[in-house]
Amino acid sequence: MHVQWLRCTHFRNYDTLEILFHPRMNLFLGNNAQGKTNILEALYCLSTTRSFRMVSEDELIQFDQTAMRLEAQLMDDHGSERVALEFKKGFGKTLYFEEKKQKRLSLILGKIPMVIFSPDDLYLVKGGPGLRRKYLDAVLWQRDLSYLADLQQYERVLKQRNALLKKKETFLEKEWQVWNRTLSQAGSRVIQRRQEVVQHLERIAEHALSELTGNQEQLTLRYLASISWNGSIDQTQQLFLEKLTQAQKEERMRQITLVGPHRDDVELILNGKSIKHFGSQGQQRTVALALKLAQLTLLGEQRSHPLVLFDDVMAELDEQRQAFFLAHLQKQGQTFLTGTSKQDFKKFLGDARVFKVDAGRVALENEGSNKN
Amino acid sequence: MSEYPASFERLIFELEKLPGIGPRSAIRLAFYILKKPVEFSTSLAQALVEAKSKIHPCRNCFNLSEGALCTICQSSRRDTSLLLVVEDPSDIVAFERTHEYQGLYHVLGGVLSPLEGKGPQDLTLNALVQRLQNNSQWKEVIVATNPTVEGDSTAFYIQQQLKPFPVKVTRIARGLPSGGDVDYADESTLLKSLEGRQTL
Repeated sequence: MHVQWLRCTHFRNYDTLEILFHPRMNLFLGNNAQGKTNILEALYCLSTTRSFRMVSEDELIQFDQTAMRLEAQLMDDHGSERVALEFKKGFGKTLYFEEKKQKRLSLILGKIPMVIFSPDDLYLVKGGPGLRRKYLDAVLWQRDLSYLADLQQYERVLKQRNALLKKKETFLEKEWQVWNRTLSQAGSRVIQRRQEVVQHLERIAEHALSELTGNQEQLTLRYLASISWNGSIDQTQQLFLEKLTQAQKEERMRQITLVGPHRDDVELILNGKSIKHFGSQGQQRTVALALKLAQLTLLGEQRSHPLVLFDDVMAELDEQRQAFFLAHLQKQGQTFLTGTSKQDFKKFLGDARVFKVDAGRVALENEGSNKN
Repeated sequence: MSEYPASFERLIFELEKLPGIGPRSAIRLAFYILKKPVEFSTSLAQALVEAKSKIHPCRNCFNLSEGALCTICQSSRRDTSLLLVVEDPSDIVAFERTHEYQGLYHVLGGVLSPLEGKGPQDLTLNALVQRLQNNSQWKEVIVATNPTVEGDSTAFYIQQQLKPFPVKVTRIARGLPSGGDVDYADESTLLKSLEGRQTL
């Protein structure tokens, strides 16, 4: 699958923008704050209906405007399809396939699989457990949409249960049983899926890491679950219920659900040591890269190659790793890179279509090879 | 400082309280009502007051009713061994349209949802248990709450409550809509329809 063209209307700093992409490699060069990342964000937004930035969604709409529209032509072996996402302030988002309004936004999910590499990936290793859960969840739902339904169901029950914990009235034992059961049922499925994918990722990430460093590395991903998976949904659910009973007193005091996959984490261990606590910044960065590469590989195994978005990452890599990525990306799907200087992309320039991004204007600088 | 005469403002104000009606729709509706002959408003007002004063929950099943018992509970042709539990009276209408189900109903008045402050005491669950206690004719209770987190939780609650009674408690199946396209079904629906597959 690749994106033939993208059209943005009143999106961020773009009044109107039309870009014809190269099916393989696209490079966006320009100084900071000119709108390079916005192009990647537009693609991401079409893929997931959300922004990857932690801001109010209204900011997706150009200043002074009340609505924005993103439109793209997708192309795969079966043919082409036009998708569009509209977002109106105060009215929300609408999805269109071939100009036809769709009933649910979620219909776009999985159509444009993608993996983003950004400098923030470092926090995948350094940051809090929430980011690692999010990473696992993204890997899982992009592979299999039924996981998203499981996760959303779990989050809904969690909300209901927390609301119940905040109620001041006396606790009705029978009512508790109901929500504990629903929570443990949905939660056990989430735990199962995460547990499986962690094992899968470990193997691939370890391989990617060894390739990146040129050394034999030993990487362990350990899923730290408040309820450990023990082979079957029923048994895990039983354990879940027991833990909930144990936590009952504290939960009622703190008025929040303390047990379940929403509190889990993934411990990253490099050659026997926790990377979060003992790794150098360089090691942490490399492991983060390996995790993202593993995501890319895992998605590619199952579906057509996902899009690869590289936001300002190349400049941080030394020449050896740049070479590695160039070789690696040749085997991947359509790629989009941003950067400030041509110097950082010497190895890429020959094959890529190069765009110059300057104050909200995108100009074609180099056509790029048509080898592929 | 209102832009419209006071009585017109009041009409808009009242219409705006209706669900799904924003300020703009309220103004449009108010103008429409004003343009129509007076009989229209009188008839509308009468219908509002009459419906409100005449309709009460059925004493048995909490369906909408003008008498003490709703027409379904009054009927002598219904199968009194079957009880179908639904969230709202509008669900009864949906089942009645099938012309297939001949049993009786029980309207819960919603589902368990702590987020909306709804617990077991806010639903007609005690009355449901009472109905099973009062009569031994029941053979099966079918729980037809929506296939949501809340609907499923409520169904489980009912199942727990009815354990002491010698009735079969069942849950309606979920799966593909008829005339639908397997292609277009979302993953969780497809999964459920696989789980509930039947031998041909």
